[in-house]
Formats: sequence, C-alpha cells, structure tokens
Amino acid sequence: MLASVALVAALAGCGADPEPKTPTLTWLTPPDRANLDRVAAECSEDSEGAFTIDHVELPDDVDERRTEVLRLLRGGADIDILGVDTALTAELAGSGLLAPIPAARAADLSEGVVPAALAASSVGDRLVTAPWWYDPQLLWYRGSSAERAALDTSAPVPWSSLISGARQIGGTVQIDGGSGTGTVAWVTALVTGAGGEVLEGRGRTPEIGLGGDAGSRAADVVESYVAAGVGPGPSPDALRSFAAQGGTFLLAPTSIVSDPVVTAIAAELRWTGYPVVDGDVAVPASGVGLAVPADADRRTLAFEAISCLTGTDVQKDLMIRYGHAATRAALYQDEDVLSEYPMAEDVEAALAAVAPEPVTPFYARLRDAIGATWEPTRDVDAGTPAASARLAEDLIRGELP
Amino acid sequence: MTVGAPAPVAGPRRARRSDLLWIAPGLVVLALVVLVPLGRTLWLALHRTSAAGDTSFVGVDNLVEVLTEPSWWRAIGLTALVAVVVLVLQLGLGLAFAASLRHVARLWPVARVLAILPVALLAVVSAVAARSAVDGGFLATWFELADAGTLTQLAAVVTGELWRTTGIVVVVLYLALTRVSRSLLDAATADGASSWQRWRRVVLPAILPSLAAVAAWRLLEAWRLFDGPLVISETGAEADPVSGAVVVWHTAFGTYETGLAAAAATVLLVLTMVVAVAAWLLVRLGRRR
Repeated sequence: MLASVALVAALAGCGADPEPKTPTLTWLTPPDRANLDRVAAECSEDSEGAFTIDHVELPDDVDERRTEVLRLLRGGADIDILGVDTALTAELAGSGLLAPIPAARAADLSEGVVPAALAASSVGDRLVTAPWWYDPQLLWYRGSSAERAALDTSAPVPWSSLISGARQIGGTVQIDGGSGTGTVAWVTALVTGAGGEVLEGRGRTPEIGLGGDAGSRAADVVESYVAAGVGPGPSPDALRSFAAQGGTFLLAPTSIVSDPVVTAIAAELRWTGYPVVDGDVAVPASGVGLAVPADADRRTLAFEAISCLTGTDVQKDLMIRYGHAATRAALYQDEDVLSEYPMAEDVEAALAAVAPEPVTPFYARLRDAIGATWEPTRDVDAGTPAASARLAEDLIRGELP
Repeated sequence: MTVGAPAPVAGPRRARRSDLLWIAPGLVVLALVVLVPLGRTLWLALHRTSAAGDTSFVGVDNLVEVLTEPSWWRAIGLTALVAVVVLVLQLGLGLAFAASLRHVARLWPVARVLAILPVALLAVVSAVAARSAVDGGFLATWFELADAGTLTQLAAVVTGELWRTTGIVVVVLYLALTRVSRSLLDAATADGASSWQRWRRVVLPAILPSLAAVAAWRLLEAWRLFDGPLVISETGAEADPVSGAVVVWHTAFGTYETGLAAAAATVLLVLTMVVAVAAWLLVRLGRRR
C-alpha cells in the first residue's frame, strides 16, 4: 500500500515537469587567469536558450592535466567541449578521442587565423582543434631597466647582451615556469633560434636535433645565464620575483598582464620582443584549442558553442582584458584592440616568428627527457644536449625512464 | 548384488567425476577472473601502444626492454629491501611487544583491540600520514631527512606499514606465546636455565610454526605494498620509485605505454611467484622444526 503510494507520488512528480530543460554543455579548460565562467555565461546567453555552458577547470600542472584528460576521455566522461593544450594536440589527434571537425566548420574556424596558431591546432593539413588563443612569450622589463642595461629595444635583443646587461645593473632575468612547461619552452626557443630543430617526425623514431650544434649553442646560452647569476632559470615564482624589489627582466607569455602580482606594477611595465640567440628570431608560444570529444552526445550543439567561444567578440575580450593573444589575424588591426591593448604590435610580430612546440604524439616523453636533463638549470653543461637527445630517443621509442 | 556393499571399482571413479562436476563452476569463475586478464596482459605485452593509439606488434621487445632496464631492477631491489626491512622490524617489534604484554596480561583485552585498530583503516590513510611525517613532519626532523630522495621514500613506506600492521603480528605472536607449555617452562627453570636460555630453547622452538607462518604472510604483504609507495612517489618525482608496482602504474596510467606496462607487470608476477615459493618454504621450515 505504502509502496504504491510512493510510486504514484514519484510518477506524478515526473509528469509535473512542464518545460524541456536547456541542455548543459560541460566545458573543460586548463586553469586560466581569465574569468571563463563569464565567457561561458555570455555565450550561453547568445545562444538564446539553445544551450548552457558549464565551465570546469582542469589541473594546473601540465603532466597532471594530460593524465586527467586522457583518463576522462578514455573513461567516457560526459564532456562536451575540451580546451586542448597545443602541446597535446598531436597526441589526442592520433588517439581518436576527439571528434573530427566537420569540413564546413573547419573552413570557418581556420579562416583568417594566424598561421602559427593554425599550425599549432593542426596535424599535417588537418585541423584538429579550433584555434582559440595562442600566447607568444615577450621580454618584459620594469621602468628603465632596458635603458640602464644598454639594450637596444628597437631590434631583437641578443641573449648575451641581455645577460650581461642584467648583471651590470644588478638585476635578474626571471623565466616563467608555466606550470611545468618553462624549461621545454626555453630549450625549444634556444635550439630553434640557433638554427636547429628539436624534433622532426611523428613516429616512434623521430630525428632529434637536440644533440647537434644548435643544442650546444643552446647549452652555451644556459651556461652563461647561470654563470652570470642573473636568475634561477624557469621557476614558478618568476612573476613574484619580477614584481618584487630588485626585479628587472622577465620572460613570460602575454597573458601575465592580468596576473594580480603583475598588475601591482602595471604602471612601470614595459615589453619588447623575445631575445635572440644568434640572429634568427624564435619565440616560444603555447596556447589552447577547443575540441569536441569523440563520444560527446551533443556534437552539433558543442560545435555551435565552439563557434561562439572562438568568435571575434570573445577573442577580442580575452585579448584586451587578459592579454591572451587572439588567433584571428584581423583583430590585430582592430581599432579597439590597438587603442586598449598596447602590446598588439609586438605580439603580432612575435606570432610571425614562433618556434613551435614539436608536433609529435610523444610530446610528453620529450618533455620528460628535457626535464630530466636540462633541469636543474645550474647543472647544465656541454654534455647536456647529447644526453637529452639520447634520453628523448629512448623514451619516445618506448623504454622505461 | 549384496545389499549395502557397492562395487569397489565403480565407487571411487564415480566419486571423482562428480567431484569435478561440483567444482566446475568454481573453476570456470577462477578461469574467467584469473586466466582472462592474464591472457590479455600477455597479449598487450607483445604490442607497443601509446596514448595516441597506434599499436604495433613487437613480440618480446617489451619484455627484453624491462629485463635489461637498470631502473626496473633498482625498483625491484628497493621493493625487496622494503619487504625484508618491514618483515624483520615487524617480527622483532611484534615479538618484543607480545612478550611484554605477557607480563601485563590484564591489559590484553584492551590491547588486542587497539593493536588491530590500525588495520581497520584503509592503507592509503597510513600512507598519507607517513608522507606528511617525512614531508616536514616528525620523521623529517628526527632523522634530518633533507628532500624527497630514496631514503625519505623508504622511511615513509616502512613507517606507514609498521604502524598499520605490526599490531596483527603482536596479536598472533601473543596467542602463540600463551600456548607455550607451562610444564616445559617450569621444567627448564628447575633445570637451572636462565631466562634467555628458556627463551631460546623452550619458547622460540614452541612458537616457531606460528612465527614462520606470520613471517611468510607479512613477507608477501610487504612485497605487495602499493598505497604507501604510490603516495610517497608523488613527492619525489626525481627519485626512483621504491616499488615495482608503482613503476607499472606510472607506465600504464602516467605515460600510457600500455604494452610496456603489461610486460613489466608480467615480470613482476613471476617475481611475486618466486617470493610466494620462498614464503611457502618458510612455513614448511617452521613446521618441520
């Protein structure tokens, strides 16, 4: 008797639900200084009831994030939109865990996109993720540090001048650690700038260029950096040290302008292009592209949401407010951007000379190899490039560390 | 046919066939639960896979790689070291505590509950507590452990396991001690044996079967430790893991080299069987004496 009453009540409750609910799309991104909840809310409003976007953050550390993303995707978690690190793009593309972008949308999403960002979101000619933001690194300095260090900021600054100049004025050259990517970005930029290529080939036996002349040149730069005593190398405390007493130079992505630690010294913040090794400009960059998991239920809605999230308005907002370099080339000529985002010109120049992250599904192994050999920075010597190349070959081939 | 006297030849044969029928369902379940995963692991070990999904048949390459990799044998060596250290310390401390408790037998009802209590907790609890102890906790200050190197990891794993399961050893050995024949001890005292001689010649031989059984059990458990090494490996990213199982875990679910992890798991299984044989010999040794 009691059971049947309960059953009837439950059924009545079910039947009493009048309107169909707006589908909620779950959107996962790496942690961001930008207020992505607000961005999600705005795109939800613009959809006029078609969907609601629920934003969730992934772990901060890049290795943890990779493991978390792989586990979620393989475990069939209910994710609709995924913010994919550009470093992970090749791995996820090959894994079949991402839904292919429909040809029509791919054409829209790649139209007018900065070439470097497009390359970072593609594997070969195929667009794998929707380019969202792609931040190059800049050389930031405080007040008149560059003038005092006798640096010519009208042209790319050589590493040797930067290091000796910083030492002369008793300042530091901080390098942003970027939750575990700082060393790899630095080494990639140095090796590419010295004329080499870190890794070529997407299989198990790529050509590793770390051990050649370019690698030795890169090790020389790191050794002179350590010898001059101008900083601890890539570090998670780089921003704090830069903003504190005695901070002079910083190498960090464009989005640090929105960091609360940096906004405190915003008045005296200046910038110029990333330093060069011998003459060729090679700027490290990394970004996030948006993709839909292969087993997502509401693919069409998800791609609609991605069109909004990667749209001009959102990208302009992210660039002006948070310093995330937009991937739509047209925005760099936009009036509002030029007036409210003074770094636009330098960022555009930087994006034209990016030293891209090596495109390989085994990027995480490469990162392990570089981390095991080029860290700690003070232990880098002439044998480091060859050792890192050997270790990278072993790890990518599939050996135990 | 005589009443009540079944044909001797037909009887045992029929019993054997029906025995098999009775245990057949159990065998089927055992096969499914053990043989199928084992088979799949061996199959995986013959391939090289990656998170990107490309799979290629590599035969015994993975196995050779595991068997010739120094870092793997370092991890196995550390696993063995942990097992031996934990075993020796647990037996020693357990015996000492049990012998002491015999002198305050009034405390036994309370003591036996308190001793078993830590085991009621999940192993991960003691693992996390031990990690805090070495990561700026009391162990770090007592032994001046600098950073998360191998020594720190070993200290954490051994401490966590000692705290958690020494209690059971105490309980088992206490009960074994209560069974030592009173009359034998009295006879030894009458013969003029000192307490150490009584201990060595009467008590130890009497509790040897229990001691051997506990030793075999704790050896296997200490060899199988996983929670402790896994939790502590998160702090010491540069140090070698102190457990082969953690290496398998990191390879399978960290770098997603599934084939290599399967090969490593197979090697670990074989090594575990060796340890199991050693434990069995230990028990037999105890019983024969």
